[in-house]
This record gives sequence, C-alpha cells and structure tokens, in this order.
Amino acid sequence: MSSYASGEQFVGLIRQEKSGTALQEQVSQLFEEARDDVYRYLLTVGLYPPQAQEAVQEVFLRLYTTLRKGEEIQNPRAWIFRVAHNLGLKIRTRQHSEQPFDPEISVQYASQSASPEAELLERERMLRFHGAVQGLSEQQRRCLFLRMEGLRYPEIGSALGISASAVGEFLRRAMVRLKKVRDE
Amino acid sequence: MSNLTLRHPAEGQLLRYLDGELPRGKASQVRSHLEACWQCRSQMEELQVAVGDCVRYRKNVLGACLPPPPAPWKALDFEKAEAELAAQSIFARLANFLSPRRRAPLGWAVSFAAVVALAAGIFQQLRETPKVEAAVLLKKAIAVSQSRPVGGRRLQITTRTGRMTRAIGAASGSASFKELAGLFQAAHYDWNDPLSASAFAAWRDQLSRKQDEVVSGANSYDIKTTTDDSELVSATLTLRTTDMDPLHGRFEFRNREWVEMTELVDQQTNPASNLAGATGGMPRQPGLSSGPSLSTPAAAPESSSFSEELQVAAALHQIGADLGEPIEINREGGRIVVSGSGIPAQRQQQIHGQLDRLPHVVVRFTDPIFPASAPPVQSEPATRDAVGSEKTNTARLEQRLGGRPQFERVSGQILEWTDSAMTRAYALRRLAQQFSPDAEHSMTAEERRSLRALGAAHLDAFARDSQAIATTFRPILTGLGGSAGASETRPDPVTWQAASEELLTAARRVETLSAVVLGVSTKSTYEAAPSQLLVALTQLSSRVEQCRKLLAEPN
Repeated sequence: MSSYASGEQFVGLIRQEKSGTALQEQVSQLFEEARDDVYRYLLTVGLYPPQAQEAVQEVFLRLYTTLRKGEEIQNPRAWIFRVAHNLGLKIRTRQHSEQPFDPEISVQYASQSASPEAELLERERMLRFHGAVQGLSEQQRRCLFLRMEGLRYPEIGSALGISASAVGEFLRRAMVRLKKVRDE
Repeated sequence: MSNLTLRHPAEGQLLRYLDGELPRGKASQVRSHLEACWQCRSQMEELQVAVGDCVRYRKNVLGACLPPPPAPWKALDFEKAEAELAAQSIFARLANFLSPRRRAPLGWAVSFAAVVALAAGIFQQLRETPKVEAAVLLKKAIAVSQSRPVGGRRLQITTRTGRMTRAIGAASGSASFKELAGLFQAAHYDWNDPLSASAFAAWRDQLSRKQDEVVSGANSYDIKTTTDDSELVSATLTLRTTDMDPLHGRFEFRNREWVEMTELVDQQTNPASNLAGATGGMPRQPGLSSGPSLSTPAAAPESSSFSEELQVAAALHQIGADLGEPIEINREGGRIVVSGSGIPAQRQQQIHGQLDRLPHVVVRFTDPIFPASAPPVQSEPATRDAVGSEKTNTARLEQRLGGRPQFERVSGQILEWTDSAMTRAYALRRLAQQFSPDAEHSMTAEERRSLRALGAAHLDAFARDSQAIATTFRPILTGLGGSAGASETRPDPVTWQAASEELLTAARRVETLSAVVLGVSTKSTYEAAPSQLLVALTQLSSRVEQCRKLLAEPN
C-alpha cells in the first residue's frame, strides 16, 4: 500500500511525452502506487467494490490519454483524485440501488500497539473517531477525505466545486469535532 | 507589526497555518504569535494530535476495514486508450478542417459530402480490421452526425402493443410516449433523440459491465450492446455504411418490453439547405425544440434561434452544468457559442458529450486545463477574523442551542443549505438573463413551457433549501430575541425574470445575515441581525411564491 507522501514524488514525474511507451510505463507506475488509495477513496464516496475497481482503471486511462494529448498535469495526484471524485459521483448517481455503499466498520481494527491495554484503548478511540467522522456533514467529510489523501485546499475546492476558503471552513469544522474525540 | 498579533489567531487560521495554506505575510504573523503564546501553541498541538488521529484512522481503520478490491488488479488497457485517441485525432483534424469558422465559404454542403466520403473510407478500413471496436465506431458516427445539418427527423416507433410516429424535438404529450419516455429514462438512455449514435454511446459509456457485438452487413452494420447493468438490457443500433446515419434501433428492457425505431425519410427535408434559422429548419437533435413550428413557417426563424439556445441551456441543466460553473452561452451569427474557462478536463468531456450532438453549437474552453498544484493564497477569507466580537455572539448562540456540538451541527447544516440555495438562485437569475421576457414572447408555446420548466426546477430546489433554513433558523432567532417586524415593501415584479432578480437579492440578504448570526462573518453589527434575518426570511419566502406564481402564469 502506498502512502500519500508519494504525492510529492509524483510532482515533476510526468512530463509531456510524445512517446507512448515511456508514458505507459510512467502511468503504470503511478497506477501501482496510487490505485489502492484511489480505490479506497471511491469506496468512501459510496461506490460498491467492483464499480470502484473499474473506475480506478478508468481514471488512470484518462490520465494517460490526457497526457498523451500533450496536456500538462502539474500535480497528478490531485488530478487523479479530482477525476476519481467526479467519476465516482457520476457512477453513484446511476447505481441501481439508491443506497450508497456503506461498509460496516466496527471491530476489525488492526493495530500494532505495544500492549493489549494500549491496543484496546486505541481501538476504542478509533471507533469513537469513526463515529465522529460519520457524524460530519457530507461536505466536511469530503473535504477531510481528500485532505487525508494529501490534496491542498485549492485542489480540494476544485474537485468539489467550492472555493478554497470554503474548504478551510469545512475542514475547521471537521477538526473541531474530531478533536473532541480525545476529550470524550 | 500589525495589531493582529495582540489577538489570538482563530482556529481556522491555525489549521490553515498548519496546512501551509496561509499567505506568507499572515503565516509569519501567526508564527510569531505562536512563539509568544503558550495557549495558542497548545491549541496547535491539539490540532496536530487530531491530524495524527486522521492519519491513523486512514491507515488502520479505513485501510484495514474497507473491503479489498474484489479482483486482482489488471494492467491498464493502453491499447484501447490508443484506439480511442486515434479515432479522436482523425476526427479532431477533420472537424478542424471542416469547421465552419475556418471554411465558411465552403458551406455545409461540401463539408457534408466530405464527411460522407470519409465515413465511407473509414468503413472500408474497418471492414478490413478484424476487431471492430463498438466504441470507436460510435465515436465516428457521432463525429459524422455533428457535421450533418439535417432538419427535423421522424421516427416510426414499434412496441409490443402498437406503432406510432414521433417527430424528434416535438412535444410528446401522449400517454404512450410518456410511458416510453419513462422506460428509457429509467435506463438512463436519452429519450430526446433515442435513435442516435450519441444517445446510444452515452448509455453504453455508463455501463460498467457490457458486451459488444458488431456485425457488418451489406449496407449497414449493427452495434449490439448487452448488459445486466441497466434496465435496458440490450440495445442494437444499425448504422448505414455510407454515412453512418442511424437507421434502425432495437431496445430490449429488463421487464421484457421491447421497442424498435426506424427513421422515416421525410421528402420535404433537404439536408443541404436546412441550416439554422432557415424556414422550417428543425434541429436534428431535440431536446426542447418545437415541433409545431414546422407548420407555422412565419414564426420559425426566431423561434428556432431561441430553441437552439434553450436546447443548450437544457442540455447543460441535465448534467448540472448550469449551477455556477464559469460557462457562458452566446449567439454569434448563426452559431451558439458555449465558452468556459478553467473547467476541469473531465467536466469538459461531459459538456462536450452533452453539446457536441447539438447543431450549430460551438464549445470553446480556454485556460490551461490544470491549475498549478497549489496557487498562492492571495486574499484572506473573511471568516472568523474578528475573534472578540464573534466569541460573544457565537457563545450566545451555542448556549441557546445547548452546547458547542449542537451549534456546530446546526451551523454546518445551514451553511450547506445556503450554499446550495445560492447556487440555484444564481442559476435561475442566469436563465432569466439569457431569456428575457421579449425573447420569451417570441418563442413557441412549447418552448416557453420548456424554459419555465427549467426555471421551476431551479426554484423548487431553491425553495427546499430555503425552507429548511427558515424552519431551522426561526425558532433559534426568536430565542435570541429576534422579532420579525414589517418588511420593506417593494413593487411586485411582473415577470418571472424580474422576480428571479428580486429572489436573488432576498437570498443574498439571508446569506449575509446568516453568516453574521453564525459568527462566520462580522461585516455588520450583530445585535440587530436576528431580527433582520427573520424579516429577510419572511421576505425570501414571499419572493419564492411570487416567482413560482409568475413562472406558472402564461405570459
């Protein structure tokens, strides 16, 4: 699994490439690094796993065709998540069941804490944290998830169609709530 | 040094500082303040802890609990992408060459002939290719159809129970049409022009699981797509080999209903002379154009021109692209120019998908497609800067609502409703500006109905949000000592266009005052705000009613 630190590595990695093969290698590399993140993000948008997996493929193929046309992408990670977000919403609206995918997240918390007590504590905290995340408004949650994926405010704003300052405000509200989990 | 350092930075500022989103000057002020202030530093540390929680949550909870991909990852199918790119590039070049902008003297007739010739050539090529991709074929058919300025079309529609004729673009008021329209809509298949490559392709593109089959006949070939991903489980489109014109379509639905369509050749239609604005010229692609205008040639030129603009507005509305995106619709001579700037690439594709099938519509996007990854933040948003006064105001409100969490919930919700309502108010006003009362007057009855239906859709969405705001806010405001006095009286608007302007003004006032009451903005004095907001809410709801009434009235 990749981490979002790889976003930094992406910057400058992609240049306009006229040769398809070199570009294919680069996009394939990005795909391997980020596909799990994008897949998981699409699940949080409410896509069912098979659809999410297929959408991930489509996002990266779009990345390829866009670059192949000679367009420049400054920050591929932000681009990928923006496209994934919009595609995800589009797919979700035509899902047969109106119900978006909502996984049961309960006890499967996998931690590597030192002691059983610490692990129990951490697990409880994370469950409360999850409850708090679920309690956020749709916009707050979307901003938060995109921020967790390493996107900057203007990039999040561009994905969600809102201003960067609105992103700041939504994130502030989200953080205020999440901070409280510690005090509970 | 600015006196800001005397105050504690607001929490939003601390988060923006932490995220590197503050402008340089402001960031250094916050940094100096943090060095001096223990209180803010520990607040900052709390934020850092919450950020750390987010990271662990993402890794340990989402990472471990969300289901893994159901199948092993497959390598990306670059071949398919290349095939699509190749198809796009042939047609982009062709479109460029044939563009009326550049080759106006050539006229459509020549363009049309060239496209037909090219289509025939492509068909020959495809015939020799063993693997004919349905997607590529459809793209070509769409590209050819764009260059074909054909007038109104008529379809013969056969169903299990009967046979009927439908003029594309005309109102389909009969019950059987409505039933059919419902069937197609449920399958997300464009009923406006069902026998078209673009409608077929748009439906096909949505399917995540599908099977294509392409069969070449003597003079045509059939593209058949089957899926279990849609109410429409199988669709077959027959394209003529010479010009890729859709001749026939068969649609089979999950509920075992089936529909067949055949294009009827209209003897009166002369493709080469049927340009925009020409007498009797009906757009090839539908939407909201008027059928009856065919029989009333005197009214045709003008109604036709608005009809096209209306179609563009309706097509943008279908994909929600009339909700504040920087897209302009302008008429330039015989064409409708839709221009947008700074629209993301994917959105551009969607807009092209909606508009490219409409006749005489030119879509232009400007600006680099991708903005720099993190443009410097130029101006400081006017949120939560005046910490002192805001604290007392929000404290009162918090107390009213029973605590900070309740306050956060309510204010977050109101903020979202306001955002959504304002988007609609602007969209409605924009529609009113695009189609003035005079313009509307020269439209056909059907066009007027369509226009007003668009307006009413925005108004309904607006009314839902504004109602939610009012219902939530009223008791709170009364609790804060607010009272709804007499509202200022303004002359009642006489057209829905004027009413939409009034609605926007009223909505802006509610937005501003809500921000004051919720402590997001400190632009005006707080004390009077609850009462002012109560008045503004009442006024807004009467504006909604006015607008609704005027939209429902015949003009």
